Amino acid sequence: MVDFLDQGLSVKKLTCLRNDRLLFRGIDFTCKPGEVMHVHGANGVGKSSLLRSLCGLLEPAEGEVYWQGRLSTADPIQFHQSVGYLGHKLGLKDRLSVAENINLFLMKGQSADRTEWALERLGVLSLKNQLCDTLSAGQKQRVALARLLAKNCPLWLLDEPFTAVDREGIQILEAVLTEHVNEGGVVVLTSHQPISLSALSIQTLAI
Amino acid sequence: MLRQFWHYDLVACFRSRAELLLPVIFFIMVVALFPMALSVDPALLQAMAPAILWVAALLSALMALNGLLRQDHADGFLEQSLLCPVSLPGLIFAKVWAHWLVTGLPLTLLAPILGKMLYLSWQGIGALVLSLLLGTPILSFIGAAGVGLTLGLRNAGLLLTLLVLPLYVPVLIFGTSSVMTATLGFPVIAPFFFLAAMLVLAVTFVPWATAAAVRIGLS
Repeated sequence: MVDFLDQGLSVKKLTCLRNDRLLFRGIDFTCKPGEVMHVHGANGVGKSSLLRSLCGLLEPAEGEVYWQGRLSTADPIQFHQSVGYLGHKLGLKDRLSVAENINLFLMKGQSADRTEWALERLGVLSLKNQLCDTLSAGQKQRVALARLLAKNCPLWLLDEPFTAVDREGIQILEAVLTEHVNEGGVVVLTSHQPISLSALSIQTLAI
Repeated sequence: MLRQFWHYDLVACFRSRAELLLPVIFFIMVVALFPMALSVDPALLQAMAPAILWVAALLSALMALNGLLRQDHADGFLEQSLLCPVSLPGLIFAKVWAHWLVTGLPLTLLAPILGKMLYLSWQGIGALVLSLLLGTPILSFIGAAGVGLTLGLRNAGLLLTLLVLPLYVPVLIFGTSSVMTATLGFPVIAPFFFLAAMLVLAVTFVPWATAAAVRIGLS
């Protein structure tokens, strides 16, 4: 389903400052299609900032991010088409229903069937007409992941995706991640728990 | 995609009707309080009507700014929009437009009734509606820039007011002067041209300025 060239994501000498404090310096890594990068480290070392600077929300003090051999800032709109980011703030509108929240982000040419398919995959299809402010934290997390799935982008940047998700949800999420990576996607995620994705090459990066 | 954003923005606004009605009710109440406090002398009310109506509309627009962008920033929606393949200035334009439709337009439509309540002549009411139609979108756009600049701050309310009010003054001056000249029976084309020019300026520049401010606020 996801179809793109090789090379994947590569990061060169990434340095990040936050409020005049050095978070990390000179981070280099490459994540080829079909690979998972697990970023771990203590609270406050800059895992979230790393993900935010990968997708361009945070301008790194130094260093470059390359996606498929091209500088990510060279054509931001095209880069944003292939990146899906999930942060601590999920970005779901309380006053819109679950389905509307996802339909809002569908690209031209993607039909609402895709939304239903993604919700079904995450096991939250029955909630599709509920307003988002009636959902629990775990349900919201699943909806946000369904939105990511519906967007159909090869590069996933997930900040603590397992937060608030129940045991069944973790299994679903692991299955979805495995499928995405097997189709040639790239996943960079932060998590405090060790992750177990069978039959996948997982790199780890400690900050 | 911008159309989708605009559409769902309006849907979300209409679902939170209570917040939507607050600036409108504020507008009506402020205008209604003046005859009670001042006097019921028609000549006096008529003379003061342009100022009362415009000041009330301006304060009500200022109040309505709370619903613009700030919630989107708090719940992470702006971040997600930023990572969409749409241009940020376009997105902000769509948002401000939707915001004006649910805040500025109701004020404009209510103004004739309140104008009549203050003994405003028909020419005055015509000028009032047209000046509000041109002026309230300017207030929304300038307000958006102010909100964009104060996004990351905790208690942004006071700072936003201080930032935005001086920029609202020209709109207020030309708005009230158009209504006053109309009630006196003089030609009113000049203030309308000024308002229209300010609107064009706001529509063309503010989305870009706000986009830059939002980018800084998010990083």
